[in-house]
Amino acid sequence: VETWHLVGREADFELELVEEVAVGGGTVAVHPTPAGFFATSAICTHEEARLYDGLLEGVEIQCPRHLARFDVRDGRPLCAPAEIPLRTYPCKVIDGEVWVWAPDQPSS
Amino acid sequence: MRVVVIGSGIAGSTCAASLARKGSGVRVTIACGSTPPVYDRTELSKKFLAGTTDEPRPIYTADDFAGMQVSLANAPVAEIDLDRHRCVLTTGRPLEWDYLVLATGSVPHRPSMPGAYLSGVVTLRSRNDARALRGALRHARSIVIIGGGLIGLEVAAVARSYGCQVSLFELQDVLLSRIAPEPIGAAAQQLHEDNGVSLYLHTSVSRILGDERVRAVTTDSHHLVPADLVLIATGTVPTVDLATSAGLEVNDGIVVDTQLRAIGHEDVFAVGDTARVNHHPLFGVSYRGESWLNALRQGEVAANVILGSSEEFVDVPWCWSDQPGAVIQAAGLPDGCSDWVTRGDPTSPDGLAAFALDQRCVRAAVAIGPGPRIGRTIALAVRAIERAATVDPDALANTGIPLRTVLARSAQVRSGDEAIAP
Repeated sequence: VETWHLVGREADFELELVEEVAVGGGTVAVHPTPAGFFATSAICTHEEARLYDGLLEGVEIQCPRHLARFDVRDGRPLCAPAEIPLRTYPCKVIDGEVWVWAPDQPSS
Repeated sequence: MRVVVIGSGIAGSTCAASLARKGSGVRVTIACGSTPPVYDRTELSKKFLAGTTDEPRPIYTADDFAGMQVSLANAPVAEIDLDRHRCVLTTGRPLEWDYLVLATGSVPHRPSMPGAYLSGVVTLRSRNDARALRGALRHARSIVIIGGGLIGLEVAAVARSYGCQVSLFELQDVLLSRIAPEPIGAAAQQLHEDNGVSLYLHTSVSRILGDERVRAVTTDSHHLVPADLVLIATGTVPTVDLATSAGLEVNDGIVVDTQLRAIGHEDVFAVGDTARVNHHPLFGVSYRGESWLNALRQGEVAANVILGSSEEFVDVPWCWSDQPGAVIQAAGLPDGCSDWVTRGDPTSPDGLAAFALDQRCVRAAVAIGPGPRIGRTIALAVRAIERAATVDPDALANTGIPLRTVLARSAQVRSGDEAIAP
């Protein structure tokens, strides 16, 4: 079952500083970008590395381990070594609160 | 248009795949002695050697190439004839080209010391090398590693995980001296000593002893260290025989311009470990890269140029090393920089970073830390290097100021805004 999860207040996020939030038992990366908030899976699709440790610039998140880059709006990989897109989750800001649409239970 | 790519490492296969994907009417042939799959060589000294993966990750299989309509001439090239625009395979088959790409890679350097070719003395380059070393590590009691660079340290860590006694010899006073200043090398030293590696710095191995099989090494300081295995990890030598015979300009690599064209030849390119860019636009020096990313990007750039792009190779060199318990990343070229500014400490999540400055201009950065988070530091440094940003060394050393802020301020200086107080 999917539902909206409150992940924090807009003011608590810093522009272009990726955060990792617990959602329904799993984790999601939340990206505050100049184009708005976006949410993706928290782990790089190439090898196990947390995007939380990576660099967000504009709408691109760079994995810290092997430098793969993804567009956080649709999750698509922008360069090698990543080939598989990140999973994306709908994300919206209402009254200064950031909400993510994600499964209620953790998924692998 | 016919393109022949010699070599199927990451540089050659990326170039061939890019040409096939982006070009129309391009007939690409890869000529090399080994057959696909092309695999991720960076895993060989890490998880493949450690046995946590059975096979390294395939990047392109024979089916992938067939699907892209890239032909495979499964024989090495014997000769290149630049005037007649063709090469000849060892089987005698000729291959004609409009564009030729040399992606012949490099081979491990083998110092000419007594015993260097005894059984049990190995180098690490190919999947077969890694497989043989992995098998040997399972039974070896002791290994001597010659060379304290990234490969030597990665193998040292894996060998310890197999329970081997590890003795590592480095000619310089400090580890990682080719890419990093003393504090980073010292942090690596601490880490490996804590992991039980015996380090011999400022020491060279003078002889490898054994009858048929290696038994021990002796050092210039007259130590005798027993060894069931010896790994030589003292760097690589570019494979340039074909280029030299063909009459191309060679100087520790095939000399190319910033579009990766061999000097004096509009239609001949060299990419990856074997290519020496005669003048890197960002650093003003000649440069031969040996990293996976360098090879991949040069393969892409050469393909774009062949397809008519005016692109130049201006990438900041960048390499990484994943070792159990530590991650190391390095970017840029510190040539000619005498000043390094250090920031942080190796046990914190952001690790210890060092920045090479030339007149306050960031030219290189190296970081070591417990996890991949150090990649964020290097990524920011790369952007500063690309912008030729100048920085305040004191702010750079101060972990109380976020690195992004330090480097963002530097951008203002360059755009002519208020200068930073010294």
